[in-house]
Amino acid sequence: MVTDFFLLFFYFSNRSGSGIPDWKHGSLIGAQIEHAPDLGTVGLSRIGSNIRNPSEVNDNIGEVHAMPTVVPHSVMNKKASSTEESGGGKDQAKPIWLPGPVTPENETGWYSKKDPLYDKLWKDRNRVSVLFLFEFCGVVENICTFFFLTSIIFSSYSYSFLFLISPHNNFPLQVPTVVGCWTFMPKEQEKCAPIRRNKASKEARSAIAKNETGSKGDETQAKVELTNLDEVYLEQDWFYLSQDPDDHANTCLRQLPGTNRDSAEIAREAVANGARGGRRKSVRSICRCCLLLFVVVCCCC
Amino acid sequence: MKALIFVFANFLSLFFLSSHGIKKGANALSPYEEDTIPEFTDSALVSVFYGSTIALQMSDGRFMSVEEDTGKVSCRHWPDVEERGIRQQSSHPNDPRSVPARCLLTLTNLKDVNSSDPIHYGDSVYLVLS
Repeated sequence: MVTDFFLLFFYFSNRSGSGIPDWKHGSLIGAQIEHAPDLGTVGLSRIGSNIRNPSEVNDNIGEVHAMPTVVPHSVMNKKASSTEESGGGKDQAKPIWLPGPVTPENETGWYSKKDPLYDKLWKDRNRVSVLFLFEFCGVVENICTFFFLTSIIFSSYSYSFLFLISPHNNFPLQVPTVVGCWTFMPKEQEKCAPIRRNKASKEARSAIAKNETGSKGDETQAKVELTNLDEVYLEQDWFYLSQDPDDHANTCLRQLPGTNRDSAEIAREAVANGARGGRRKSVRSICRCCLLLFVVVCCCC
Repeated sequence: MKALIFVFANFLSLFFLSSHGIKKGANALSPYEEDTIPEFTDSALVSVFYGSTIALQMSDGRFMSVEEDTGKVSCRHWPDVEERGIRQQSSHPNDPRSVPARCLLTLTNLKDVNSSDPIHYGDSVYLVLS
């Protein structure tokens, strides 16, 4: 498991960062899977799972673990400013205001970077979050290089990298903070489709749009607010969080049903095949013309 | 497709309990009861916002929890929830009667940590352990 993550780490180290200055050794970096061909087979139950490759069904692809993390100050600043000012650049980052105690000196309870209490509030705030880390079990060999960690995780509390990535250590929850990124999805499949479509790559969307019509109505359904007592499930890319059907006390990660070729990769291939098909058609038409011309010439002769 | 719905219905029916509302379990005999926290609401159609504290309940009554000793995410029954309320019970990890796990999660928008906008289906949400 550790080796897999080291591979992941190495993979990321070859890419340029986002320029966040307070990243340090031991920081955990997020990534995004661009394509995941031949992802392991995951069925819906141990018995009779024939959704994907029936010969090798892995219904449990990992476990979810909480992790201590903190958010770098600069990330908070940058993210907060980027949403407030849509046209703003990186230079226009503004420090966020943090809520704190209401005192006679500060009746609003909000503290800016100029206040002496700000650093303490920021540390306290970062001490609260927890990241959910995925430990892939059965199919880790197939997907480790495509695996992602959804966001920016940092260890400003002197955790080593190994400590961060090892899911087997005793995790003291009273220490820092974790954040794991999930998408709340409705239970109904027809409502999930437009949401996934919106999150899909441009190629995938264009490939879907050729085959389907009237998707505008679906897209309007995607912006439904979450309400109390809704039945939802938590999804992240190709996976969703589930209760282990064999041991209901455990959770596991499972792969979303579908085909192994339902990622953006299939759209790219479709586009490529379409282009090739066009060439083939043109070649065929030229051959036909030549043949027809040959026949005409032969007839004339 | 039927199997998929079956799984969703049986294993992934997570019910939201948002962070505003009525008190439950005020009669619980706990040394921590002076510290009673407003319990989750049981009203439907209450929007969930970034910054809300929630608990996720499976369809079998268990709550999605994070074990304190291992950090593993599990599905736990929380005893006395009916009497005391899940928020009241899970907010006192040092209470001997409580479960050694956490199940309260704060929904965070990491792109704007101060955001208190309503959450829609399809939005990416960071689950921060409370």
